[in-house]
Order: sequence, then structure tokens, then C-alpha cells
Amino acid sequence: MTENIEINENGKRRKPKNRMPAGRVIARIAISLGLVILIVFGLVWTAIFTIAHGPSDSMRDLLVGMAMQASATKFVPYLVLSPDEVEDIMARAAEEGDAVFSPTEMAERYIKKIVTDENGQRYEITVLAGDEGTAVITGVDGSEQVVEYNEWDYAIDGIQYITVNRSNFKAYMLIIKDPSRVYVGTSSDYSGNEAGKRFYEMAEKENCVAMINAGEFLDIGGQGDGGKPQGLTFSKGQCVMQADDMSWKTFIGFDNNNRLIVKEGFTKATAEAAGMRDGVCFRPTKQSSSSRLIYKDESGNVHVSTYSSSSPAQRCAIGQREDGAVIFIVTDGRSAASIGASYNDMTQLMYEYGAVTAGMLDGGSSAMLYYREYFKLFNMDENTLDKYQKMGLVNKYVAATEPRRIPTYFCVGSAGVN
Amino acid sequence: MADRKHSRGISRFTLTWILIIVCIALIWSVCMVFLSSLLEEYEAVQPKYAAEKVFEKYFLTADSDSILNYNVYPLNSLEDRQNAVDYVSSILNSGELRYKEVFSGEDSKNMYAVSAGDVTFASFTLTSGNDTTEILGLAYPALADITVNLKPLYGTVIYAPLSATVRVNGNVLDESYIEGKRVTLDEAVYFPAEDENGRVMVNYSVSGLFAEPTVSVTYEINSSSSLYVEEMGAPAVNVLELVDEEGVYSAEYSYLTLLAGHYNEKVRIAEEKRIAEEERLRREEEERLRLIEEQRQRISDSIKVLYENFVLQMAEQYNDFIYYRTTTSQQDKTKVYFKPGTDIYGYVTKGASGGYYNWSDYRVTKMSFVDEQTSYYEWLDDNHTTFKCRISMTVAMYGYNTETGKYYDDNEAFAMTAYVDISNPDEPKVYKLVTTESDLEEAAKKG
Repeated sequence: MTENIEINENGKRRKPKNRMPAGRVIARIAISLGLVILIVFGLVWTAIFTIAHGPSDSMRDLLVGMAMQASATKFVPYLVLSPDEVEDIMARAAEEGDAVFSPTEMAERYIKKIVTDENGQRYEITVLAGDEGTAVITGVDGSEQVVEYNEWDYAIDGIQYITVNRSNFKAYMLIIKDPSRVYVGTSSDYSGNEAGKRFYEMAEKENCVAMINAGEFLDIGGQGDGGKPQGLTFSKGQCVMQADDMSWKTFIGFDNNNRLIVKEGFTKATAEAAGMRDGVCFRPTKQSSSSRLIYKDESGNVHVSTYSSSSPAQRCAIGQREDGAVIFIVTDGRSAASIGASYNDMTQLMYEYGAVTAGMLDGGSSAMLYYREYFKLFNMDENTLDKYQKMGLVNKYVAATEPRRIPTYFCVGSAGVN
Repeated sequence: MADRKHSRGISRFTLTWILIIVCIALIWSVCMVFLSSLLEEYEAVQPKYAAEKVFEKYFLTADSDSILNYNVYPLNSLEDRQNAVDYVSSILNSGELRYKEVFSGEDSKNMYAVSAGDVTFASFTLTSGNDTTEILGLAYPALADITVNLKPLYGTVIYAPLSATVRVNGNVLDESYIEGKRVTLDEAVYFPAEDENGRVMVNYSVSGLFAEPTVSVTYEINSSSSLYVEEMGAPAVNVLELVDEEGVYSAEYSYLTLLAGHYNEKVRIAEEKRIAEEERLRREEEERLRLIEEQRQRISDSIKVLYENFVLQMAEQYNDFIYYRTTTSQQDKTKVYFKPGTDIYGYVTKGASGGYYNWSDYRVTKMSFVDEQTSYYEWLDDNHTTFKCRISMTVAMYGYNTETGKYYDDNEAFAMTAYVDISNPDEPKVYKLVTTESDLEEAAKKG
């Protein structure tokens, strides 16, 4: 065997460098990258596996629920759980418990209201639901004084704008005094293949003051174009989508008396007979939770629902107070600042702000609340707003894509116009 | 060979990756163990476990008596506690005992509704407790409160006189249980007219009982009798109701009927007692009289044995005298039976009057006395020197009406009482003779 000897500039011999062939280098880099990917995948998988099969069923259920909320992440639970296990978890999440309150109990509870003074300063007050227009002020000495207030005296355009910060989410609310201003705006007549409208397109189309995304639409793999709503849909007194085979979905809409109805089992005929003028449907599957958050039964008793699911997400809901005022709520989600709200969080918010009827609307990446130039109305620093907020979006749109195309929105017309 | 190998033939590259993987695996294993610990803590503070413990301790394994202590409806003092306990037991046994989370109305609380079968009867709430987990510092849920909502469904309205003693489950109701106005009935329909309180009717209202109450109404009618009504579970329809604005009240007729029925029954019993008492007294009186009569009869018989012949002879002679008094011989035969100096002696010895003897509108043409009998002998003094006795007979009379010419033929019962002086036992004398048919004597006087 011979040894290669190299002579350097000083005439000394030195051992020549081992030069690795380029192919081997590339192979090792590829192997290394593959190993890194494998390790990362392994780490993620073992983490997911640990969560899925570890000591906390609650955390597993929570994360499964979160993953199943968004179309893009629905596959994740199936990486470590069988379809039956996922189905069981989702079924348990849909379990509902009702607390039933009599009309008297509802009137005697305390609710929150926003009062704006003549200087535009807004105050949150807690008042008896049944004592509209009067509030009790407790002095520092414990004395109580009953004062009269009118929450609408200085409210801009009959709309109250509220932000609520909770430990796990941030919510934005609009309370609209006149329920007759609220109607369902549609992206099209749904006769063709036209895609749905982004919020700013719909705001322009309807020339509305405010709006919130409304009903469900087909969104396989998060790729739906929002062209057609799912389930029975009414707009401006007309049935624009008939879906009698989906009567199990939760119908959320207004009747001709401007009362919000949240009900399951409506067909086109029964909805028309009940005098529905505007409404949409939301409830992804029969197995998923009902979208009834708060509803009245035939006896006038109010049922406030609680669901086993506590999965946080971006959520939207609509409610109505006893005095007819309509509540829009949207929450931020999928961010460190606001993980998101659960069904029960939405119910709690609705209950706190006086709703006697409330239903969940489509959430996730569809969650959008629009309020025209709200930042100017309330003197906000526009530099703190993102692109879409400057276009009127109240909540933060966190998806990397453009805002979703949506087929239906609950719109708020100008006062005295709609 | 350019890529040197270790003696075992493993390249440095491979060895490096093995080391990296092993290190990562070790570190990751530690991380996963730590994650498991975190998950364990997270799981431990889930309210569902605390809820399960509360459910087991306070409902699943608890007895009805202790559950009753949490009831929001305080036990009515008129209620027998055992009734309430039995009621709770019946609820608990009415179906599977379950619990589920319901809306609490407060962010910081978890509320659970407890039901047996279809009946939701209790709730409990959990809130963050003082104990926290070691790593995450999460607060363990703690029991905030338990509410048992078993609403007593039974009650009764008792329509009763004001002065009645009304009891529910053996407890006397005081005036605080009276509801509505006092109404005085116009008439003493159900109660004695002289008892004003018996006509002042009121409603006693009792509610909040777990079991059908035992109701009793006791009303003292007088010192010897009372009205007592006992009815299981008097229905609440027995109400004295205001039927118009003028203060006219009416009560459920069936209840009044019931009340009156009991009253009448009591009155009937009292009347029967009275009648029985009267009968007893009557019988005693009869017995007393019978004994007296027997005594009298014995005395009568003892006298009769000695003097009946005398009395009968006197009666026959006197009767003959009555009809044949016109003759002196008759007077002489008669007067020996009578005591001289007495009125009757004077009567039988006075001069003959002659004429006709009239009876009613008839002139008596013939009269005879037959079947004379004596009875009722009785001493008139303690020395037994005088006695009286009754003499009965039949008078056969014949006559005619002078105006019509019609004849009369009749038998008349006749009796008289003879008073006899036996101071001299060998010569008894009648000193007084009283006819019970005074008109006959009067007629004889006229005759």
C-alpha cells in the first residue's frame, strides 16, 4: 500500500487533506436534513402523542376541539387518534346542559350596559335587567342612589361599541338599538357559481353601517369560496336558500316582529309560517353542538346552554336583549394575545350584556365584525390598526390569506333607512 | 481510505448523529416527562373531578336527611321531618342520579345540576380554591355552595269556625295562619244558633309541606260534645273565596257539606245520647212507678180482702138508690153504708125528689148498674183508719127523646171513688163518694 506525500513551500512533508467527494457531501447533507426533519417530526409527533395519550384527557379534548374548529387543521388529531376516538371526543364536546330561568329571574338579574355621556365618554354600568332606564349608584359611604339614564342619548347612530378583555380572549361587541335595522345581506342570489364576498366588498354592496359574518358555507379543507350558504337562508323577507334536508341545523334569524329566533327544525314552509324575514343557519354537523346559546321556550322560560366543549377559537355570535336591542360579538383568536373564546364564553358574554336570545354564527377564519370608520368615531390611533381594520374590520384578521369570501352577513342598515 | 472509521467501523458522521439523536431523545424524554407532569397538573385541576367528588360525597352516598339540610326551602314547623326525608328519598329513588354542568352566570364559577331521572332537584357550584398545583400554580376547584331545590308542593286551606282548634299534622294553628277576612254566616246552618263563634268562619292557610297533611278541626259545641273533623290531605280547593266585591264569600260546597256532615253526625250522636238518657230515666221512673204500683197493689189487695164485700154492697145499694131513690125504704137500706153527718149521708137521706132522670137529650126510662168491680184500695192515713177505693161498673140506660120520639139504648162505663172510714172495723162507713163521671152526679142532682 503506498502513502501520498505532499511537500509544502518550506520543503517539509505534510499529510495531504482528505477530500470528501462532492457526492458524499451532498448525501450527508441530505441525510442530515432528513434526520432533522425526522427528528422534528418525531418530536412533534411524540409531543402530540404524549398529549393525546398522556395523563390529561381534558387537554387532549381541548386541542382536538381546537384542531377540528379550523378546516386546515382537522387532519391533526387523526395523526395520533383513531377516527372513533376523535368522534367520541367531539360528541362529548357537543353535550349540552341547560340552565332554565323564569322571566322573573331574567328580569331580576344584573346586566351590563354602556352609557355614553354628552362628552362622548363611555361608562359601563351594571343594572337590573328589568329596570330599564334606572340604575343604582352606590356611594363611597355605602349609600345608594337611584338615577335615571338613557344609554342611547349620546350613542352614535343608535349603536354601542364595546371591547371586552378576558383572560383568554378579546371580544368586540356592537349593540344596535333598533332590531329592524338588522338584516341578512347576501353575496349574490346564489343561482350561479359566483363566489362569496369579502367583508369590504359586502360593506360596499350593502352600504351598511356595520355587519358581522353570518351563516355557514361549504368549506372543504378551508378552500370554500363562500359562494353558497348552507342551510335555510332568508334575506329581506325572501327565502334565498331552501334546504329542508338540513332542518337539523340551527336557524338564527329575525321574524317580522324583529324578534331574534334561534331554533332548530325549521323548513322553508314552517319558517315562512313563523314570519321569518332574515336568517341563516349554523351547525356544521348533526353531531356538533347546537348553535343555540340562549333561547326562550314556549312558556317564556329562558334556557341558557352550556356545552362540554371548551375549545377556544375565533367566534361570532348574535343575540337580542329583552328590549329588542341586537348584540353582535366577535372574538379574536389564534394569537398569543387572544387564544379565543369557547361556546360557553360566548354564552357568558351574551348573558352578561342582557341577551335573552342568542345564537352562534360561523367563526374561525370567517369571524369578522365590520363597523364603518369606527376608529374615527372613537378617536383611535390609526397607526395601531392593520390594513383590514383601517377598512372597517373591528377584530384582527390573523390568517395569512385575504379575508374569507362569505355568502351571508348580518348587516346593519342606516338608521331609519332599512 | 479517506473517511477513517473507528475500530468498530462506525463513521464519525454516523456517530455524531447517533449522539445527537440520543441526546435529543434523552432531553426530549425529560421534556415529555415534564410535559406529562404539567398535563397531570392541568388535568387534576379540571372542575369535573372536583364535581365528581362533590357529587359522590353529597348526593350519591349521602342520605336523604343530610341532603335536606341544603334545601333552600326551610322545613315548615308544621311538617314532620320524616315526611320531608321520605319525600327526598322518593325523589332520589325516582331515577338514575346524575349531574351535568350548566350555565353558572359567573365566569369564575362552574355550576352543576343534579337530577334523579328527569327531575333536576339540586345544583352545586365550584370556584377556585386556595390550594394550587406545584409547577403551574393552578388553583384546585373547591366547593362554593350546594343548593337543593326541593319545593314542597303540598298545602291546604282549612275552612273552620274561628273558635275551632285546627291542627295540621298534630300541630295547632294559631291566628297567623288565618288568611283573608272573617265571615259570619247569616244563619247558624252548621253550628248552634246561640254560638256566635261557631258562625264566624275563617280560612286557615298552610303551605310548604312535603307530604299530604293530616288536618283536624276540633270545635267545642258545648261542654259535653264537640265537632271533630279529620281528613287526610284536605284538598286546597276547600277555600272560602271572595265571589264579588261586596264581600260575599262562598266556600266549596263539598267542604261545607263535609263539615256539616261531621257536625250533624256529632249532633245525631249527642241526640241519641240524650234520647237514650231520657229512655233510661223513663225506664227508671217506670220501674219506680211499677214498684210503687206493686206496693200499692199489695196494699190495695190487703185492704180489698177485708173490705171489698162492703164496698160492693155499698155500690150496689147506692146504685139502686140512684134509680129508686124515691122510696123511703131505699133510703133506709142505703144510709147504713154511709157515715152520718157527711154530705153523702145527707144526700142519701134527703127527701125523695121524684121526677125523671135525664141523660143528654133523652129521658131515662130504665137504668141498671152491672159488673161492679173494685180496685185501687189505698190507705188515706198512717193509722189505717180511712181508705179509698175505685169502683167501676157499667150503666145500661134506656130512654127516648121527647121531641123526636127516638129511643135511646146504651151502655156507659161508670166509676166512682169511695172514701171509707174504718175507725170501727166492724162498721165501716163511707164518708165521701166521688163520681168520676161528675156529669152523672150532676144529672142526678138535677133529676
